[in-house]
Amino acid sequence: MANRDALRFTKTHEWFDPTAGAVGITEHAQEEISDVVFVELPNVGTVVRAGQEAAVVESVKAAFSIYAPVAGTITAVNERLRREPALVNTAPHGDGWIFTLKAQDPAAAAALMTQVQYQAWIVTEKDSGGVHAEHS
Amino acid sequence: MATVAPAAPLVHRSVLHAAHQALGARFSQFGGWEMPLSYTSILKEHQAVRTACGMFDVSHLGQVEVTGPSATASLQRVMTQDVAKLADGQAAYTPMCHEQGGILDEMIVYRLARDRYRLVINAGNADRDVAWLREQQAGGAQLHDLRTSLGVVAIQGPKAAALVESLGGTPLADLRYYHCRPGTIAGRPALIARTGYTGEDGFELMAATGDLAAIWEAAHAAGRPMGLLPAGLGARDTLRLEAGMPLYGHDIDETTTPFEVGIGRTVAFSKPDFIGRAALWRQSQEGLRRRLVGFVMDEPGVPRQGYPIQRRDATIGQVTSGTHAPTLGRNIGLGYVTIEASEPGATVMVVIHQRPTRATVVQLPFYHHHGKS
Repeated sequence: MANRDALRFTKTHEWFDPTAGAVGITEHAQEEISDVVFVELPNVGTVVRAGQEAAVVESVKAAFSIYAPVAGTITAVNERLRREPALVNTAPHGDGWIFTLKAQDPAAAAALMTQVQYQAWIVTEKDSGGVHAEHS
Repeated sequence: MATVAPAAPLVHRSVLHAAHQALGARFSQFGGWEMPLSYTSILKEHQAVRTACGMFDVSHLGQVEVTGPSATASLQRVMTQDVAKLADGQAAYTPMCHEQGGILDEMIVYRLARDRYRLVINAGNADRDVAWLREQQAGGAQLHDLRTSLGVVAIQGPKAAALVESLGGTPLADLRYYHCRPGTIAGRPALIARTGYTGEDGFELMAATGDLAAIWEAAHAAGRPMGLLPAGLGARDTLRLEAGMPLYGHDIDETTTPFEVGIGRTVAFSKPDFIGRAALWRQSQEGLRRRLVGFVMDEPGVPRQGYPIQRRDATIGQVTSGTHAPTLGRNIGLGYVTIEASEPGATVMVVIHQRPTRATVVQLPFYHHHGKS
């Protein structure tokens, strides 16, 4: 697992490890989503735009879209999640990673939030209603 | 000219709200109420109800009473069930339909005495129900709106009987399913009903709002050593769905009839006239075009309300409720399909995230508990 300080975050609660290219959901998001029962993984080789839906995390209560933090190509998916989707809850920053992405622009991650900025964002968002089930 | 901002919708809270907060509840809005969604995890709460017991604050349910010498006749006219068959302390599940046979609400009617019935109605329909029942009261039957004075705590699961017996100090072995009796819980007067919405044995304890906290605290304290967990609306939904029980506003609304929902057994054509009788009789003779069915996913994917259901590339209906079923380990749903596709064993495709995903229609319920009653 990467050094937390190196991680970058999206407003939609994904974390991105710019070195390894790994993407997952944050501890905060897994708490809000709770009880993950299924993860729909993308196909390796899929090209995604920044902010495009790349995976779907299904909890008991709802479906949640997982968006690509930066533009790029899916290079691997976490096959373990097919049998153990609850890893997203128990180890969201570790074994519960969802896919890896080769960024089109290696500098793109700089536009994402740092850990400190993300913590502040959670507080702002909480005042306006928190994480929403937003899969369409 | 100044415009007046619309008033924020009034959201009701249970008298147990502070107790839920103290237990770490996450809240969700349902039927105009802010109620616990879960306290720990929906899966754990679901499991507790299936294997030990769970306690739910379902005070969002509305309680009203119909009383007076013409109470029975009045209910016979508005309900599709034959309420006159009930004995004191007996209950019936019944739809309440409009003239076209669509369901205005469905509820449990408890006969408390010859001239006195308790109705437990859905939160989201409560205002409309009360207005409709007022309008329909004939011959001097009285309607008492008890929504602000009474609450409900449901205790459900294989250990519920032992727990409720310990709280009341009286045996409940002779209190049968869909029966109720007045009693004492934690020293407070309560109507003890052997009913529920989980597919397990269990009780609904109806008591004055001022007594509800004492009942809740006593049940929690005595239940914990038995494996009881407080459970929220999340688990209530997965439990009722496994038990194949429809939910108003999702699987039922005023455009659906009891026959389409699959609760035709609650339509008593043998009794005198009731609202919706002619339309329902016609439908029973002509047959159905669509029906609510249960289905199990054969391929990965969780069905959700609103997803289209297809057969041979044509849309034949849509999902009205869906979830991962924790006890079954399968993904299940309820939905309306054309009558040709409604037989158990029929293959249908549920469109999940734009992808047609295979499912099989099954006989309801999905889950059947193994206890008595």
